[in-house]
Amino acid sequence: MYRIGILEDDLKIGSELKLFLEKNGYEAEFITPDRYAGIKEDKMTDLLLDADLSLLLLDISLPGFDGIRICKSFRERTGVPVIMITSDNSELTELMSIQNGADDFVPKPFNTRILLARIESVLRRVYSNTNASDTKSVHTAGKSFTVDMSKGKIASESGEETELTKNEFHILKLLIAEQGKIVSRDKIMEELWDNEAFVDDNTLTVNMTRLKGKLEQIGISDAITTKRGMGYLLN
Amino acid sequence: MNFSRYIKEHGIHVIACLFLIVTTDIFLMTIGGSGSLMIYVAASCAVCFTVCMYVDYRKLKTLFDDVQNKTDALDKKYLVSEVMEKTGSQESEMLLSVLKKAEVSMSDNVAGYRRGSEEDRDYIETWVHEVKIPISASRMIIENHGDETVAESGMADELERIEGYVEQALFYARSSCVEKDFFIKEVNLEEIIKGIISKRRKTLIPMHASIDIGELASEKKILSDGKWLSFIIGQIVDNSIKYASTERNLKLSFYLTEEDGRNVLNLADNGVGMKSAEIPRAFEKGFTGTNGRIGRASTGIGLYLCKKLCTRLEHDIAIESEEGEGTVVKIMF
Repeated sequence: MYRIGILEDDLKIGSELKLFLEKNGYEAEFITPDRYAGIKEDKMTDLLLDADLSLLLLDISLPGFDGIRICKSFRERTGVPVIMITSDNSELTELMSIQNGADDFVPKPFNTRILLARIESVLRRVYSNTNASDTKSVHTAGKSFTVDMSKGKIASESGEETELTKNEFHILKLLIAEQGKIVSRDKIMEELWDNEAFVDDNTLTVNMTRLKGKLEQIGISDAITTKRGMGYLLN
Repeated sequence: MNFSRYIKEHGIHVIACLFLIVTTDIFLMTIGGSGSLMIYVAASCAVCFTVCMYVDYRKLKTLFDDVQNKTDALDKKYLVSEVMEKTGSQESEMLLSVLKKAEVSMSDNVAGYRRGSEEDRDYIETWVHEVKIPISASRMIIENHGDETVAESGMADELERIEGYVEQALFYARSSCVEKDFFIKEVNLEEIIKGIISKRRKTLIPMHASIDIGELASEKKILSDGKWLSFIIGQIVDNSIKYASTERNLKLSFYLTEEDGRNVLNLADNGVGMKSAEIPRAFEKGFTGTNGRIGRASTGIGLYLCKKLCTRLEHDIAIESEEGEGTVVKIMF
């Protein structure tokens, strides 16, 4: 499991962010300001290294510290990725962050879904080689199949596999996360739009049909039920 | 300066001259001087006075004409004392010293206002950054603790609106600042527009909007400030949403063209469009137009800000529209 560190001076945002990440399947540690009050910059880097993180969410304006410098000294000593989070959404701050080793830059107030997508993409980029088999197995309609989260492939128990397109993969991922519940078309569209695929109604219908078809290809039929006027359901 | 007025204003000299002529002639008469001698004395006095006055007039005229012309030629007229030449005369020295004093007082005054407006701007900037923190926190709280009722209440959308207005205040403060606080580099239009559309998905999806950004990934180099441009395009997209036609689903297309060797970003919608007579005024502050007055709350700030920010970035912005058909906003880089 990935362990995400949150270095943020606002207690409310920090603790809510921790809760949000935990809800979404990450281990999260909120490094509260009292833990680094009065310490020097190099000690701060030690503190972060000791936290044994897979990713660091770093606020730029911290009491007594410059987030960009922390990012720089942290990145000089480790390969752990850093995502900068700041309310100063300017081109110069973004450039400074990236130049000082940050992997991504998310302005406040952030959309939680988008933050999650950015975290996923950074993690995938950095750890894709070491965690090649990020698969998830799903039981549905009396059968089970596996989804390769990093490659976007689905495979049946008997070894038949097929590749999903980006849209199909995002739809399936959402249905799996909400398995047993009806997911509305608007919610699926929102998920796709968050991932910058601005599909319209017709495209979504086509994508759904293809996804069902691909599941049938590997022998999983009737896994997704269409609830007219309500949405879709993964049994 | 004209001579006749000069004569009128120097009447005392003329009176003095006449007085001298009359008294000398009376004196000459009493001692029995000849008529021709009297005329000679009178004439020489008159010529002498006239020449003196004309020379003095020329001197003043040269000085004032010089100041006048230099002032007219200057863009910042209060700086005229900087370009004045020293002629060494008392008048010019006094004039110069007065103008210098005026200039110093003027620049102190301007500096005072500039400081004031910079302070305002800094305050707004800090305020915006601070207010974004509770907005972020609220959004996280809704995400983590909100149940179905909260999700359906539209609370998140309202927060998004607050965020939009806060952002507008920030750019309003930035738009009139004298300091350069943007950063021009190559921008990725596709990424910027995708970000803008993603952000407005909650509004666009229920409208069944279709988005066409297919043509944007090109080799063309666009130079701008990404964050500023993102705000500008965001305002335009918000207008497209606000003025969408009720008769058809909203369609937004983004594409690049080239006009007179400049790259042009076209933002087209199929909304209600604008009256052609109102297009030239669309960028005026406070202009709401017919559309703005029919039911949709319009502040007349959005496009005004776009224009101002574009001017600062040295881009041009123009609108083409057909009433009832749609609007194309062009940003020329």
